[in-house]
Amino acid sequence: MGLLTYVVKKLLIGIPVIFGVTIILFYIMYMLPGDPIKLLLAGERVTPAKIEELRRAWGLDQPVYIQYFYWLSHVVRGDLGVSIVTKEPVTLLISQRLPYTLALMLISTLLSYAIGVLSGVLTALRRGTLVDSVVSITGIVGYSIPGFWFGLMLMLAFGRYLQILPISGYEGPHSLILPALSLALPSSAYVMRLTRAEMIEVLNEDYIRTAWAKGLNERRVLLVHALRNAMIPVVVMFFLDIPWLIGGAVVIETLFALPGMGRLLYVSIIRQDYAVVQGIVLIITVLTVVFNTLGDIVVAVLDPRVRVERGGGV
Amino acid sequence: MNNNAVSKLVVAMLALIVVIALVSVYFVLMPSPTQTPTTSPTGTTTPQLKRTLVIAIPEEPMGLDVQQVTWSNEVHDLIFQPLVVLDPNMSIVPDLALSWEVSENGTVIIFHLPEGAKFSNGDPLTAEAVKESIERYKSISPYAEDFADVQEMVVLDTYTLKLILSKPAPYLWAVLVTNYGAPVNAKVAREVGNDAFNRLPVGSGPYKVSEWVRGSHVVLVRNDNYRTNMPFVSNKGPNPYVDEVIVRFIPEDLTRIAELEAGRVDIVRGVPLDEVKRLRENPNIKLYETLSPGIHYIMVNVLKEPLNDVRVRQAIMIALNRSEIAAVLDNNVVPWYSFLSPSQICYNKSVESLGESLYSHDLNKAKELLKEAGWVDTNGDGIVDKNGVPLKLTLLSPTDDPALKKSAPLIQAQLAKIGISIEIKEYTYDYIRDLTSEWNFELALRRFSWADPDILIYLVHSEYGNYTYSNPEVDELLELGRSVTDMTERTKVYSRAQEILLRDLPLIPLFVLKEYTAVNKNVKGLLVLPPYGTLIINDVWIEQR
Repeated sequence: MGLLTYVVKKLLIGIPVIFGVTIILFYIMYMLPGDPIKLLLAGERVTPAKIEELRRAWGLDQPVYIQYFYWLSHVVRGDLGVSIVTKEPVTLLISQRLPYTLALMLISTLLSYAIGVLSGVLTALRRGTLVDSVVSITGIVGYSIPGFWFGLMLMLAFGRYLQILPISGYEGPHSLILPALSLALPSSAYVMRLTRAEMIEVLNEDYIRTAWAKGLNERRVLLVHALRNAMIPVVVMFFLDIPWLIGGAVVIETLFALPGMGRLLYVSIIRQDYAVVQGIVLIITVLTVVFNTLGDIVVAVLDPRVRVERGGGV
Repeated sequence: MNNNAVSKLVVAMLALIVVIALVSVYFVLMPSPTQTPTTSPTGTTTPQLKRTLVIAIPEEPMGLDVQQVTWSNEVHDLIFQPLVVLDPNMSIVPDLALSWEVSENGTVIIFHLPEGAKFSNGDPLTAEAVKESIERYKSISPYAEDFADVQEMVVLDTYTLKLILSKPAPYLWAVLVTNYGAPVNAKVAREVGNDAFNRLPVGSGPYKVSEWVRGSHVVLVRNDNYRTNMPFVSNKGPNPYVDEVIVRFIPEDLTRIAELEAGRVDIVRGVPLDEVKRLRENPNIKLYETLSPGIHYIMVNVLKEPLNDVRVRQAIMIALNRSEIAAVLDNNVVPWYSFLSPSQICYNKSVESLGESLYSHDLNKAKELLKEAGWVDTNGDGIVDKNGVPLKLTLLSPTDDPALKKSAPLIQAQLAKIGISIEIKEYTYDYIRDLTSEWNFELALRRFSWADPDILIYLVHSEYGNYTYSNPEVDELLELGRSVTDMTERTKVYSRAQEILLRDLPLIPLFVLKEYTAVNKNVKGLLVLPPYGTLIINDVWIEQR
């Protein structure tokens, strides 16, 4: 019962967050220099009268709060509006692109946490050895490399010269390997450092010494007693990280010419395609709230103390 | 601690995660389209040929119906076929149309279509169909104004269409020679609706749409009903050697070039200037060069002190060392002194020579002009001043136009030599266009591109243009230029207008850009036509690498 109330509360708090974000974003898009209609009619071959006509047709002559409420009234009915550029429903545009981005996020997250957690545990257990130094330094280097540059290097190495993987575009799941690696490696370095620090801290705790003293076997000490506790902040990170990956996807999808949502977001911002940007950001916001809540639930399951304190019950 | 246990743990976790990752990849991607842009269709007659042509372009079209988009590109060029085109010497020649006649006073144009002409779906392409198409353009295109002077269209017989114009409209030809002027199958558009037609349009061009994968590519297959009357191609029907054209959208320059060099792409558009030198040295790649139909220039706010003084503008014009700019840009630009490029109709070499003779680089003359205008360096700080105010100007430079962006610091250094201090502000091109249309600037780096000189009316006409410049004489000439049909006379009108602009300098010409198409050597028979670098693939065949 305690857990359920806790989850419901978390989700309720998420609703004003989503509203807040959409309002702020709407104003930011509105304040941005430039005008979507002028961007649309890019040539010089157009009269100011035509621009005015189109602006009226798209309701862009209305005050921003009216535009927002108009948008919101459609959103609650499940209609994200129509793209000013392609004149197609935003829901259609996003649904065509979302699978690629979700797949990319999923693979790169799994990769980065697999690499990060394993190397983090390894360096913590081998603290002060050569293995620790080599892996840690590699981690710092990996963390400092921009994903864009790293992706370009991977592309040149595996696509252009070795020719074992596609350079760009989507030709099948193997097309996602290089983009996922370029997203995963820099973030795995961060995960490694976090895991390593947590693991070292936990291994110095009294209860671990007790566990050793009890004569428990190594697997049990490390997996049940140490890892479970060391993993809590890492799990929180995992859930908080996922929405941020879309940010990385904007760059990586553009570099690798993948038809994902990140690239759609990038193109739509450049063309000031309000409805599409709003729609994508709404999805990112919802994802953020959902994953945050999920993260809280998982932590609550892993660590009952959280539930009691934050739930305010019992 | 037991090393073995740790290693086992590591291996086990790694294996598990890899398995999860692989399974999830297939699970998530199962329902997605499975287009592989390298498959070639069966039924090859000459096995040593590659049957699919792959073109990489930077930007995905916003729609495929040329009457609904605000900018068209290579995809539209393949789907649609204009009535007439410009040949390599910039003269108007037939494409879909067999021939045409223009009445003495220029207000009647009669087009003769070839008998049996068809759209790609087999519908007859008759005079009636062309008429319906133009009517549709006038009602839905953002550029509907293009056909504003077409007052009436009369179908004389099945294959003859008469356009009656309210006044002579020579600039109409600039539209007719592009894909904007190409007939679309308006009947199908009516049946399926404009939105569906924008995804899957029907035209009469050499290829037709088979599939459009959003954000990725368009697959075009041969239109077997295609016929052309272009005199400069030998194959006037469907190309038997290229069954399929795939146009891929690859936004990143480096990625596009890497795909070309790896041989996965045959033709690359939007070649970055930085890569031209390297590509030229690559023995597997051929570069096609066309001159941009327009100039790159400095736009001047002629209302603002001290730029309202023509002598200051002239001083800037003379102080610029255009060959230095061209050298820094690896000679991918041609230094320019007038307002129309050789890829534009009514270009006149003698106006360009006049501009060059008046304003060729001369620092002393520039300083002299500034002095006349009252600008002298009195305090010895290197910047000229007048009444205690130093001559400082801001120059807006677009971050997304590499040629202009690179010229900005050179312009700054060159003008410093005559004591003008320039501050560079960088924005995106579109934002700079907005700022200039609100007259909120001093100097701005800009460009334009359109084959007809009528584009000048949108630049410097006091009413149609967004510019600060106003000169009744120029207004009159530019309006006249819209109605003079005789080419020699029309060229005279625009030459006269340019001569006045050369004196007034509301914009300061910098250079004409060379535009490149990079093509793999195994692609044979390709034509790249000025002014827009249109790809003509009628005679193309691709050798297997």
